[in-house]
Amino acid sequence: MIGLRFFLGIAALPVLGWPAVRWLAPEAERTARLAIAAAAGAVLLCGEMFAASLLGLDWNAPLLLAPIAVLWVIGAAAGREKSSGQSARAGAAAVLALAVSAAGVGLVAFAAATGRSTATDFLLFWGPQAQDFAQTRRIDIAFLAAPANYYMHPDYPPELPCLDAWAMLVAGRFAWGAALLELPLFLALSAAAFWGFARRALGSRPAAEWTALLVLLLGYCLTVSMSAGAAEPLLLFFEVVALAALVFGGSGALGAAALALAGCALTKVEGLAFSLFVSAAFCADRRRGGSIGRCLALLALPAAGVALVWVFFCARHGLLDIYRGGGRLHPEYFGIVLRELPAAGRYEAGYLPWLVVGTALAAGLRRGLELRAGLVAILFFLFTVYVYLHMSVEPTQWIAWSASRLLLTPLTALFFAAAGAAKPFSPWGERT
Amino acid sequence: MAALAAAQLAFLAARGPLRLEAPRTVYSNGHPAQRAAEPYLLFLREVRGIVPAGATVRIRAARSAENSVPAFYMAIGLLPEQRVASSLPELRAPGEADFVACYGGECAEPGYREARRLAGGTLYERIH
Repeated sequence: MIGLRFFLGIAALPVLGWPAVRWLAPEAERTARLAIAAAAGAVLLCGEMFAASLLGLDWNAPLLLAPIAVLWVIGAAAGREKSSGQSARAGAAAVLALAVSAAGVGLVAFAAATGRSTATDFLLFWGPQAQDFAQTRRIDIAFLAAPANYYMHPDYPPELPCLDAWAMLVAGRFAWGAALLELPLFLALSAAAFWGFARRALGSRPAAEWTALLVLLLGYCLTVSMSAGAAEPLLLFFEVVALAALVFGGSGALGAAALALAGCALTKVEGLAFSLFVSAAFCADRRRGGSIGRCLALLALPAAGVALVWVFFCARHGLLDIYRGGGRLHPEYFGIVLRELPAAGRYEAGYLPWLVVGTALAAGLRRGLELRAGLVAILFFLFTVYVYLHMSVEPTQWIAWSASRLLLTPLTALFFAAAGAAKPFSPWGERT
Repeated sequence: MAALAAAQLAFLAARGPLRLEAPRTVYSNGHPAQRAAEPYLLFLREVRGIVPAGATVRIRAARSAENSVPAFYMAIGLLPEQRVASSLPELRAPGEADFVACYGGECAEPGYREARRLAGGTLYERIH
Protein backbone atom coordinates (compact mmCIF):
# COMPACT_ATOMS: atom_id res chain seq x y z
CA MET A 1 0.00 0.00 0.00
CA ILE A 2 2.87 2.36 0.74
CA GLY A 3 4.23 1.78 -2.76
CA LEU A 4 0.82 2.35 -4.31
CA ARG A 5 0.30 5.58 -2.38
CA PHE A 6 3.79 6.77 -3.34
CA PHE A 7 3.12 6.05 -7.02
CA LEU A 8 -0.29 7.70 -6.88
CA GLY A 9 1.34 10.79 -5.40
CA ILE A 10 3.34 11.15 -8.63
CA ALA A 11 0.55 9.92 -10.89
CA ALA A 12 -1.67 12.68 -9.48
CA LEU A 13 0.47 15.39 -11.10
CA PRO A 14 -1.97 15.92 -14.00
CA VAL A 15 -4.77 16.55 -11.50
CA LEU A 16 -2.66 19.09 -9.62
CA GLY A 17 -1.71 20.97 -12.77
CA TRP A 18 -4.96 20.63 -14.70
CA PRO A 19 -6.31 24.16 -14.07
CA ALA A 20 -3.15 25.70 -15.56
CA VAL A 21 -3.71 24.09 -18.95
CA ARG A 22 -6.37 26.63 -19.90
CA TRP A 23 -3.71 29.35 -19.82
CA LEU A 24 -0.79 27.33 -21.16
CA ALA A 25 -2.26 25.66 -24.21
CA PRO A 26 -5.98 26.33 -24.41
CA GLU A 27 -6.41 24.71 -27.80
CA ALA A 28 -4.39 21.57 -27.25
CA GLU A 29 -5.79 18.09 -27.68
CA ARG A 30 -6.87 16.00 -24.70
CA THR A 31 -3.76 13.83 -24.45
CA ALA A 32 -1.50 16.85 -24.88
CA ARG A 33 -3.48 18.59 -22.13
CA LEU A 34 -2.89 15.60 -19.87
CA ALA A 35 0.87 15.86 -20.40
CA ILE A 36 0.89 19.65 -20.01
CA ALA A 37 -1.12 19.30 -16.82
CA ALA A 38 1.43 16.81 -15.46
CA ALA A 39 4.27 19.18 -16.36
CA ALA A 40 2.41 22.08 -14.73
CA GLY A 41 1.68 19.98 -11.64
CA ALA A 42 5.35 19.05 -11.31
CA VAL A 43 6.63 22.61 -11.73
CA LEU A 44 3.92 24.04 -9.48
CA LEU A 45 4.58 21.55 -6.71
CA CYS A 46 8.33 22.04 -6.83
CA GLY A 47 7.87 25.82 -6.91
CA GLU A 48 5.65 25.66 -3.84
CA MET A 49 8.06 23.41 -1.98
CA PHE A 50 10.96 25.68 -2.85
CA ALA A 51 9.03 28.79 -1.83
CA ALA A 52 7.99 27.19 1.47
CA SER A 53 11.64 26.34 2.15
CA LEU A 54 12.63 29.94 1.41
CA LEU A 55 9.96 31.17 3.84
CA GLY A 56 10.87 28.64 6.51
CA LEU A 57 7.49 26.89 6.35
CA ASP A 58 7.36 23.15 6.95
CA TRP A 59 5.86 21.14 4.11
CA ASN A 60 2.53 19.47 4.67
CA ALA A 61 -0.32 18.44 2.42
CA PRO A 62 -2.71 21.32 3.26
CA LEU A 63 0.03 23.91 2.73
CA LEU A 64 1.00 22.46 -0.64
CA LEU A 65 -2.53 21.78 -1.84
CA ALA A 66 -4.02 25.14 -0.85
CA PRO A 67 -2.58 27.18 -3.75
CA ILE A 68 -3.57 24.40 -6.15
CA ALA A 69 -7.11 24.48 -4.77
CA VAL A 70 -7.15 28.25 -5.36
CA LEU A 71 -6.12 27.63 -8.97
CA TRP A 72 -8.95 25.13 -9.35
CA VAL A 73 -11.41 27.69 -7.99
CA ILE A 74 -10.12 30.41 -10.32
CA GLY A 75 -10.32 27.99 -13.22
CA ALA A 76 -13.88 27.03 -12.32
CA ALA A 77 -14.89 30.69 -11.96
CA ALA A 78 -13.51 31.42 -15.41
CA GLY A 79 -16.09 29.08 -16.87
CA ARG A 80 -15.81 26.23 -19.31
CA GLU A 81 -12.66 26.05 -21.33
CA LYS A 82 -12.59 26.80 -24.99
CA SER A 83 -13.25 23.60 -26.86
CA SER A 84 -10.06 21.92 -27.93
CA GLY A 85 -11.63 20.93 -31.17
CA GLN A 86 -12.42 17.51 -32.42
CA SER A 87 -9.69 15.46 -34.06
CA ALA A 88 -10.45 12.90 -36.65
CA ARG A 89 -11.11 9.43 -35.27
CA ALA A 90 -8.05 7.25 -35.19
CA GLY A 91 -8.25 4.51 -37.81
CA ALA A 92 -7.29 0.88 -37.31
CA ALA A 93 -3.66 1.49 -38.29
CA ALA A 94 -3.36 4.32 -35.78
CA VAL A 95 -4.94 2.20 -33.06
CA LEU A 96 -2.47 -0.56 -33.81
CA ALA A 97 0.46 1.87 -33.57
CA LEU A 98 -0.88 3.20 -30.28
CA ALA A 99 -1.15 -0.38 -29.03
CA VAL A 100 2.53 -0.79 -29.91
CA SER A 101 3.24 2.34 -27.84
CA ALA A 102 1.32 0.88 -24.91
CA ALA A 103 3.25 -2.38 -25.22
CA GLY A 104 6.50 -0.40 -25.31
CA VAL A 105 5.57 1.38 -22.09
CA GLY A 106 4.66 -2.03 -20.64
CA LEU A 107 8.12 -3.40 -21.42
CA VAL A 108 9.73 -0.41 -19.75
CA ALA A 109 7.44 -0.80 -16.75
CA PHE A 110 8.55 -4.43 -16.48
CA ALA A 111 12.20 -3.39 -16.70
CA ALA A 112 11.75 -0.76 -14.00
CA ALA A 113 9.59 -2.85 -11.68
CA THR A 114 12.04 -5.74 -11.74
CA GLY A 115 15.07 -3.54 -11.10
CA ARG A 116 16.60 -3.99 -14.55
CA SER A 117 16.98 -0.29 -15.25
CA THR A 118 17.74 1.14 -11.81
CA ALA A 119 20.05 4.15 -11.81
CA THR A 120 23.03 3.75 -9.52
CA ASP A 121 22.60 7.38 -8.53
CA PHE A 122 19.09 6.63 -7.30
CA LEU A 123 20.48 4.99 -4.16
CA LEU A 124 23.45 7.32 -3.93
CA PHE A 125 21.78 10.71 -3.92
CA TRP A 126 18.42 11.16 -5.68
CA GLY A 127 16.58 8.91 -3.22
CA PRO A 128 18.48 9.92 -0.06
CA GLN A 129 18.01 13.62 -0.85
CA ALA A 130 14.27 13.22 -1.41
CA GLN A 131 13.86 11.12 1.70
CA ASP A 132 15.71 13.62 3.84
CA PHE A 133 13.72 16.54 2.40
CA ALA A 134 10.46 14.76 3.26
CA GLN A 135 11.68 13.93 6.76
CA THR A 136 12.75 17.49 7.47
CA ARG A 137 9.81 18.86 5.43
CA ARG A 138 11.95 21.33 3.55
CA ILE A 139 14.89 21.55 1.18
CA ASP A 140 17.35 20.60 3.89
CA ILE A 141 20.26 23.00 3.71
CA ALA A 142 22.09 21.32 6.59
CA PHE A 143 21.94 17.98 4.80
CA LEU A 144 23.09 19.42 1.48
CA ALA A 145 25.84 21.47 3.09
CA ALA A 146 27.27 18.65 5.23
CA PRO A 147 30.83 18.03 4.02
CA ALA A 148 30.25 14.27 4.26
CA ASN A 149 27.42 14.61 1.72
CA TYR A 150 29.41 16.65 -0.77
CA TYR A 151 29.30 13.96 -3.45
CA MET A 152 25.49 14.05 -3.35
CA HIS A 153 25.78 17.18 -5.49
CA PRO A 154 24.40 19.88 -3.19
CA ASP A 155 23.43 22.29 -5.97
CA TYR A 156 21.68 19.85 -8.32
CA PRO A 157 18.26 21.37 -9.11
CA PRO A 158 15.44 20.29 -6.78
CA GLU A 159 12.61 19.15 -9.07
CA LEU A 160 12.99 15.37 -8.72
CA PRO A 161 13.87 15.32 -5.00
CA CYS A 162 10.87 17.58 -4.35
CA LEU A 163 8.51 15.34 -6.34
CA ASP A 164 9.76 12.22 -4.58
CA ALA A 165 9.54 14.01 -1.23
CA TRP A 166 5.95 14.93 -2.06
CA ALA A 167 5.19 11.28 -2.87
CA MET A 168 6.78 10.28 0.44
CA LEU A 169 4.59 12.79 2.28
CA VAL A 170 1.60 11.16 0.60
CA ALA A 171 2.79 7.61 1.31
CA GLY A 172 4.30 8.14 4.76
CA ARG A 173 7.52 6.41 3.75
CA PHE A 174 9.95 6.42 0.86
CA ALA A 175 9.01 3.59 -1.50
CA TRP A 176 12.17 2.69 -3.40
CA GLY A 177 10.47 0.22 -5.72
CA ALA A 178 7.56 2.51 -6.55
CA ALA A 179 9.87 5.42 -7.35
CA LEU A 180 11.38 3.31 -10.15
CA LEU A 181 7.98 3.32 -11.86
CA GLU A 182 8.34 7.02 -12.56
CA LEU A 183 10.32 5.89 -15.62
CA PRO A 184 7.36 4.25 -17.41
CA LEU A 185 5.01 6.93 -16.09
CA PHE A 186 6.99 9.82 -17.56
CA LEU A 187 7.57 7.83 -20.74
CA ALA A 188 3.81 7.38 -21.10
CA LEU A 189 3.28 11.09 -20.47
CA SER A 190 5.94 11.90 -23.08
CA ALA A 191 4.04 9.73 -25.54
CA ALA A 192 0.80 11.51 -24.63
CA ALA A 193 2.44 14.89 -25.27
CA PHE A 194 3.84 13.85 -28.62
CA TRP A 195 0.65 12.15 -29.82
CA GLY A 196 -1.51 15.01 -28.62
CA PHE A 197 0.49 17.69 -30.40
CA ALA A 198 1.45 15.71 -33.51
CA ARG A 199 -1.99 14.32 -34.28
CA ARG A 200 -3.39 17.52 -35.74
CA ALA A 201 -0.23 18.35 -37.62
CA LEU A 202 0.53 14.91 -39.03
CA GLY A 203 -2.82 13.15 -39.04
CA SER A 204 -3.74 10.23 -36.82
CA ARG A 205 -1.87 7.42 -38.49
CA PRO A 206 1.55 9.07 -38.96
CA ALA A 207 1.32 10.63 -35.50
CA ALA A 208 0.55 7.26 -33.93
CA GLU A 209 3.45 5.66 -35.79
CA TRP A 210 5.89 8.38 -34.73
CA THR A 211 4.59 8.04 -31.17
CA ALA A 212 5.27 4.30 -31.20
CA LEU A 213 8.77 4.95 -32.51
CA LEU A 214 9.41 7.55 -29.83
CA VAL A 215 8.26 5.20 -27.07
CA LEU A 216 10.38 2.30 -28.29
CA LEU A 217 13.40 4.56 -28.87
CA LEU A 218 13.35 6.40 -25.55
CA GLY A 219 12.08 3.37 -23.66
CA TYR A 220 14.99 1.27 -24.84
CA CYS A 221 17.62 3.97 -24.29
CA LEU A 222 16.32 4.91 -20.83
CA THR A 223 16.31 1.24 -19.85
CA VAL A 224 19.82 0.35 -20.98
CA SER A 225 21.28 3.62 -19.69
CA MET A 226 19.90 2.70 -16.24
CA SER A 227 17.74 5.74 -15.66
CA ALA A 228 14.96 4.50 -13.37
CA GLY A 229 14.92 6.54 -10.20
CA ALA A 230 17.18 9.23 -11.69
CA ALA A 231 16.12 12.57 -13.15
CA GLU A 232 16.43 11.66 -16.85
CA PRO A 233 12.90 10.28 -17.35
CA LEU A 234 11.49 13.52 -15.92
CA LEU A 235 13.93 15.68 -17.89
CA LEU A 236 13.12 13.90 -21.14
CA PHE A 237 9.42 14.27 -20.42
CA PHE A 238 9.82 18.04 -20.11
CA GLU A 239 12.00 18.08 -23.24
CA VAL A 240 9.42 16.14 -25.25
CA VAL A 241 6.60 18.45 -24.10
CA ALA A 242 8.64 21.51 -25.07
CA LEU A 243 9.72 20.19 -28.46
CA ALA A 244 6.30 18.74 -29.32
CA ALA A 245 4.64 22.05 -28.44
CA LEU A 246 7.12 24.05 -30.52
CA VAL A 247 7.38 21.73 -33.51
CA PHE A 248 3.70 20.80 -33.82
CA GLY A 249 1.75 23.06 -31.50
CA GLY A 250 1.79 26.46 -33.13
CA SER A 251 1.95 29.79 -31.36
CA GLY A 252 -0.92 28.81 -29.03
CA ALA A 253 1.34 26.30 -27.35
CA LEU A 254 4.19 28.69 -26.51
CA GLY A 255 3.06 28.81 -22.87
CA ALA A 256 3.23 25.04 -22.58
CA ALA A 257 6.69 25.05 -24.13
CA ALA A 258 7.88 27.78 -21.77
CA LEU A 259 6.58 25.86 -18.76
CA ALA A 260 8.28 22.66 -19.92
CA LEU A 261 11.57 24.50 -20.47
CA ALA A 262 11.34 25.86 -16.93
CA GLY A 263 10.78 22.28 -15.80
CA CYS A 264 13.96 21.26 -17.63
CA ALA A 265 15.95 23.96 -15.84
CA LEU A 266 14.54 22.84 -12.48
CA THR A 267 15.36 19.19 -13.11
CA LYS A 268 19.00 19.04 -14.19
CA VAL A 269 21.91 21.39 -14.73
CA GLU A 270 22.01 20.52 -18.42
CA GLY A 271 18.27 21.18 -18.56
CA LEU A 272 19.03 24.90 -18.43
CA ALA A 273 21.40 24.57 -21.38
CA PHE A 274 18.73 22.68 -23.31
CA SER A 275 16.16 25.37 -22.51
CA LEU A 276 18.41 28.17 -23.74
CA PHE A 277 19.32 26.28 -26.92
CA VAL A 278 15.67 25.56 -27.68
CA SER A 279 14.69 29.16 -27.01
CA ALA A 280 17.40 30.45 -29.31
CA ALA A 281 16.76 27.95 -32.10
CA PHE A 282 13.00 28.35 -32.19
CA CYS A 283 12.86 32.10 -31.69
CA ALA A 284 15.27 32.79 -34.50
CA ASP A 285 12.70 31.32 -36.88
CA ARG A 286 10.47 34.10 -38.15
CA ARG A 287 7.85 31.67 -39.44
CA ARG A 288 6.36 31.56 -35.96
CA GLY A 289 5.36 35.21 -36.19
CA GLY A 290 5.82 37.89 -33.55
CA SER A 291 9.10 39.49 -32.65
CA ILE A 292 12.17 37.44 -31.89
CA GLY A 293 12.68 39.33 -28.64
CA ARG A 294 9.18 38.61 -27.37
CA CYS A 295 9.42 34.95 -28.26
CA LEU A 296 12.84 34.66 -26.65
CA ALA A 297 11.60 36.35 -23.51
CA LEU A 298 8.55 34.13 -23.31
CA LEU A 299 10.49 30.90 -23.77
CA ALA A 300 13.80 31.58 -22.10
CA LEU A 301 12.89 33.85 -19.18
CA PRO A 302 10.95 31.32 -17.08
CA ALA A 303 13.74 28.75 -17.41
CA ALA A 304 16.49 31.27 -16.77
CA GLY A 305 14.47 32.80 -13.94
CA VAL A 306 13.92 29.59 -11.98
CA ALA A 307 17.54 28.57 -12.52
CA LEU A 308 18.76 31.95 -11.29
CA VAL A 309 16.62 31.78 -8.16
CA TRP A 310 17.96 28.29 -7.43
CA VAL A 311 21.56 29.40 -8.00
CA PHE A 312 21.09 32.42 -5.70
CA PHE A 313 19.59 30.13 -3.07
CA CYS A 314 22.59 27.79 -3.35
CA ALA A 315 25.05 30.68 -3.29
CA ARG A 316 23.43 32.15 -0.20
CA HIS A 317 23.74 28.85 1.66
CA GLY A 318 27.21 27.90 0.46
CA LEU A 319 25.98 25.05 -1.72
CA LEU A 320 27.35 26.20 -5.06
CA ASP A 321 29.40 23.59 -6.82
CA ILE A 322 28.58 22.68 -10.43
CA TYR A 323 26.88 26.01 -11.15
CA ARG A 324 30.05 27.76 -10.06
CA GLY A 325 31.54 26.64 -13.37
CA GLY A 326 34.88 28.16 -14.14
CA GLY A 327 36.66 24.87 -14.75
CA ARG A 328 39.78 25.13 -16.85
CA LEU A 329 39.63 23.97 -20.46
CA HIS A 330 41.65 20.78 -20.94
CA PRO A 331 42.41 20.42 -24.66
CA GLU A 332 44.36 17.26 -23.79
CA TYR A 333 41.03 15.57 -22.96
CA PHE A 334 39.80 16.01 -26.50
CA GLY A 335 41.12 12.63 -27.65
CA ILE A 336 39.54 10.93 -24.65
CA VAL A 337 36.19 12.58 -25.30
CA LEU A 338 36.39 11.67 -28.98
CA ARG A 339 37.07 8.04 -28.06
CA GLU A 340 34.77 7.56 -25.07
CA LEU A 341 31.69 9.53 -26.11
CA PRO A 342 30.88 7.33 -29.12
CA ALA A 343 31.46 4.26 -26.96
CA ALA A 344 28.88 5.53 -24.48
CA GLY A 345 26.44 6.11 -27.31
CA ARG A 346 26.30 2.45 -28.34
CA TYR A 347 23.40 1.71 -26.00
CA GLU A 348 24.43 -1.95 -25.92
CA ALA A 349 23.01 -2.49 -29.39
CA GLY A 350 25.66 -1.33 -31.83
CA TYR A 351 24.34 2.25 -32.14
CA LEU A 352 20.86 0.96 -33.01
CA PRO A 353 19.04 4.05 -31.63
CA TRP A 354 21.22 6.35 -33.76
CA LEU A 355 20.70 4.14 -36.80
CA VAL A 356 16.94 4.32 -36.31
CA VAL A 357 16.96 8.09 -35.96
CA GLY A 358 19.48 8.42 -38.80
CA THR A 359 17.22 6.41 -41.07
CA ALA A 360 14.26 8.61 -40.15
CA LEU A 361 16.34 11.72 -40.83
CA ALA A 362 17.43 10.38 -44.21
CA ALA A 363 13.81 9.64 -45.08
CA GLY A 364 12.82 13.16 -44.05
CA LEU A 365 15.55 14.90 -46.05
CA ARG A 366 13.40 15.13 -49.13
CA ARG A 367 10.63 16.94 -47.26
CA GLY A 368 12.92 19.32 -45.42
CA LEU A 369 13.97 18.46 -41.92
CA GLU A 370 12.85 20.33 -38.81
CA LEU A 371 16.14 22.21 -38.72
CA ARG A 372 15.45 24.03 -35.45
CA ALA A 373 15.31 20.72 -33.57
CA GLY A 374 18.41 19.60 -35.45
CA LEU A 375 20.19 22.76 -34.33
CA VAL A 376 19.24 22.02 -30.72
CA ALA A 377 20.75 18.54 -31.10
CA ILE A 378 24.02 19.95 -32.44
CA LEU A 379 24.25 22.68 -29.79
CA PHE A 380 23.56 20.24 -26.99
CA PHE A 381 26.12 17.77 -28.31
CA LEU A 382 28.73 20.55 -28.40
CA PHE A 383 27.71 21.50 -24.87
CA THR A 384 28.28 17.89 -23.78
CA VAL A 385 31.78 17.93 -25.28
CA TYR A 386 32.42 21.30 -23.62
CA VAL A 387 31.41 19.90 -20.23
CA TYR A 388 33.75 16.92 -20.48
CA LEU A 389 36.62 19.12 -21.68
CA HIS A 390 36.22 21.24 -18.54
CA MET A 391 36.27 18.44 -15.98
CA SER A 392 38.72 18.79 -13.15
CA VAL A 393 39.60 15.10 -13.41
CA GLU A 394 40.40 12.88 -16.37
CA PRO A 395 36.91 12.31 -17.84
CA THR A 396 36.99 8.66 -18.97
CA GLN A 397 35.07 7.41 -15.94
CA TRP A 398 32.65 10.34 -15.94
CA ILE A 399 31.81 9.73 -19.57
CA ALA A 400 31.21 6.04 -18.87
CA TRP A 401 28.91 6.96 -15.99
CA SER A 402 26.91 9.77 -17.53
CA ALA A 403 27.25 10.16 -21.30
CA SER A 404 24.68 7.57 -22.33
CA ARG A 405 22.08 9.59 -20.42
CA LEU A 406 23.36 12.99 -21.58
CA LEU A 407 23.21 11.86 -25.20
CA LEU A 408 19.51 11.12 -24.86
CA THR A 409 18.79 14.82 -25.30
CA PRO A 410 20.43 15.24 -28.74
CA LEU A 411 18.96 11.88 -29.75
CA THR A 412 15.49 13.15 -28.84
CA ALA A 413 16.06 16.45 -30.63
CA LEU A 414 17.17 14.58 -33.76
CA PHE A 415 14.03 12.48 -33.53
CA PHE A 416 11.99 15.68 -33.65
CA ALA A 417 14.07 16.92 -36.57
CA ALA A 418 12.91 13.84 -38.46
CA ALA A 419 9.33 13.77 -37.17
CA GLY A 420 8.87 17.45 -37.93
CA ALA A 421 9.86 16.82 -41.51
CA ALA A 422 6.99 14.43 -41.93
CA LYS A 423 4.39 17.16 -41.46
CA PRO A 424 2.05 16.77 -44.41
CA PHE A 425 -0.11 19.67 -43.30
CA SER A 426 -0.46 22.11 -40.46
CA PRO A 427 -3.79 23.47 -39.24
CA TRP A 428 -2.02 26.61 -38.08
CA GLY A 429 -0.73 27.28 -41.55
CA GLU A 430 2.79 28.01 -40.39
CA ARG A 431 4.45 25.48 -42.58
CA THR A 432 3.46 23.22 -45.36
CA MET B 1 10.62 -0.42 -34.59
CA ALA B 2 10.91 -4.19 -34.58
CA ALA B 3 14.67 -3.94 -34.08
CA LEU B 4 14.22 -1.66 -31.06
CA ALA B 5 11.61 -3.96 -29.55
CA ALA B 6 13.86 -6.97 -30.13
CA ALA B 7 16.82 -5.18 -28.54
CA GLN B 8 14.65 -4.28 -25.55
CA LEU B 9 13.50 -7.87 -25.11
CA ALA B 10 17.05 -9.18 -25.44
CA PHE B 11 18.22 -6.72 -22.81
CA LEU B 12 15.43 -7.70 -20.42
CA ALA B 13 16.13 -11.40 -20.86
CA ALA B 14 19.86 -10.90 -20.30
CA ARG B 15 19.27 -9.22 -16.95
CA GLY B 16 17.41 -12.09 -15.32
CA PRO B 17 14.46 -14.44 -15.51
CA LEU B 18 11.43 -12.93 -17.22
CA ARG B 19 9.11 -13.21 -14.25
CA LEU B 20 7.00 -10.40 -12.89
CA GLU B 21 8.11 -10.47 -9.29
CA ALA B 22 9.61 -7.77 -7.14
CA PRO B 23 13.40 -8.08 -6.94
CA ARG B 24 15.02 -8.54 -3.53
CA THR B 25 16.59 -5.11 -3.89
CA VAL B 26 16.39 -2.35 -6.50
CA TYR B 27 19.85 -3.43 -7.73
CA SER B 28 19.18 -7.20 -7.85
CA ASN B 29 18.57 -7.44 -11.61
CA GLY B 30 20.73 -4.49 -12.55
CA HIS B 31 24.18 -4.02 -13.99
CA PRO B 32 26.70 -6.59 -12.67
CA ALA B 33 28.32 -3.88 -10.55
CA GLN B 34 24.94 -3.16 -8.99
CA ARG B 35 24.24 -6.84 -8.39
CA ALA B 36 27.51 -7.07 -6.49
CA ALA B 37 26.03 -4.59 -4.00
CA GLU B 38 22.95 -6.73 -3.30
CA PRO B 39 24.38 -8.48 -0.18
CA TYR B 40 25.29 -5.08 1.24
CA LEU B 41 21.77 -3.73 0.68
CA LEU B 42 20.32 -6.80 2.39
CA PHE B 43 22.75 -6.27 5.27
CA LEU B 44 21.52 -2.69 5.64
CA ARG B 45 17.95 -3.97 5.70
CA GLU B 46 18.90 -6.23 8.63
CA VAL B 47 20.56 -3.34 10.43
CA ARG B 48 17.51 -1.14 9.92
CA GLY B 49 15.33 -3.73 11.64
CA ILE B 50 17.55 -3.90 14.73
CA VAL B 51 19.09 -0.52 15.43
CA PRO B 52 16.58 1.72 17.25
CA ALA B 53 15.28 4.83 15.53
CA GLY B 54 17.32 7.91 16.38
CA ALA B 55 20.45 5.92 17.29
CA THR B 56 23.73 6.66 15.55
CA VAL B 57 25.17 3.77 13.59
CA ARG B 58 28.61 3.79 12.01
CA ILE B 59 28.87 1.63 8.93
CA ARG B 60 32.12 -0.09 8.22
CA ALA B 61 33.29 -3.09 6.24
CA ALA B 62 35.38 -5.99 7.50
CA ARG B 63 37.57 -5.52 4.43
CA SER B 64 38.64 -1.91 4.70
CA ALA B 65 38.82 -1.54 0.93
CA GLU B 66 35.03 -1.87 0.89
CA ASN B 67 34.59 1.27 2.98
CA SER B 68 33.57 3.80 0.38
CA VAL B 69 31.56 6.94 -0.16
CA PRO B 70 28.89 5.08 -2.19
CA ALA B 71 28.49 2.49 0.59
CA PHE B 72 28.03 5.34 3.08
CA TYR B 73 25.47 7.10 0.89
CA MET B 74 23.48 3.90 0.36
CA ALA B 75 23.35 3.49 4.12
CA ILE B 76 22.02 7.05 4.51
CA GLY B 77 19.22 6.20 2.11
CA LEU B 78 18.35 2.80 3.51
CA LEU B 79 18.57 3.67 7.21
CA PRO B 80 16.23 6.67 7.30
CA GLU B 81 15.26 6.33 10.95
CA GLN B 82 18.85 6.09 12.15
CA ARG B 83 21.67 8.60 12.05
CA VAL B 84 24.38 7.19 9.84
CA ALA B 85 28.08 7.84 10.32
CA SER B 86 30.91 6.84 8.03
CA SER B 87 34.08 4.94 8.84
CA LEU B 88 36.04 6.78 6.20
CA PRO B 89 38.53 9.03 7.99
CA GLU B 90 37.73 11.97 5.75
CA LEU B 91 34.00 11.68 6.41
CA ARG B 92 34.07 10.59 10.01
CA ALA B 93 31.89 12.69 12.27
CA PRO B 94 33.01 13.69 15.76
CA GLY B 95 31.61 11.73 18.68
CA GLU B 96 31.05 8.05 19.23
CA ALA B 97 28.37 6.06 17.47
CA ASP B 98 25.83 4.05 19.45
CA PHE B 99 26.32 1.11 17.13
CA VAL B 100 28.89 -0.12 14.66
CA ALA B 101 27.52 -2.21 11.81
CA CYS B 102 30.30 -4.29 10.34
CA TYR B 103 29.59 -5.62 6.85
CA GLY B 104 31.07 -8.88 5.65
CA GLY B 105 32.58 -10.23 8.87
CA GLU B 106 33.82 -9.00 12.21
CA CYS B 107 35.52 -5.78 13.19
CA ALA B 108 35.69 -5.60 16.95
CA GLU B 109 36.59 -2.18 18.34
CA PRO B 110 37.55 -1.08 21.83
CA GLY B 111 34.54 0.33 23.65
CA TYR B 112 32.05 -1.81 21.71
CA ARG B 113 30.66 -5.27 22.34
CA GLU B 114 29.04 -7.67 19.94
CA ALA B 115 25.27 -7.18 19.96
CA ARG B 116 24.15 -9.47 17.16
CA ARG B 117 25.47 -11.74 14.44
CA LEU B 118 23.77 -10.88 11.18
CA ALA B 119 23.60 -12.79 7.92
CA GLY B 120 25.69 -10.09 6.30
CA GLY B 121 28.03 -9.14 9.14
CA THR B 122 28.10 -8.22 12.80
CA LEU B 123 26.44 -5.49 14.84
CA TYR B 124 28.28 -3.98 17.80
CA GLU B 125 26.92 -1.67 20.45
CA ARG B 126 28.75 0.86 22.56
CA ILE B 127 29.64 -0.15 26.13
CA HIS B 128 28.32 2.52 28.49
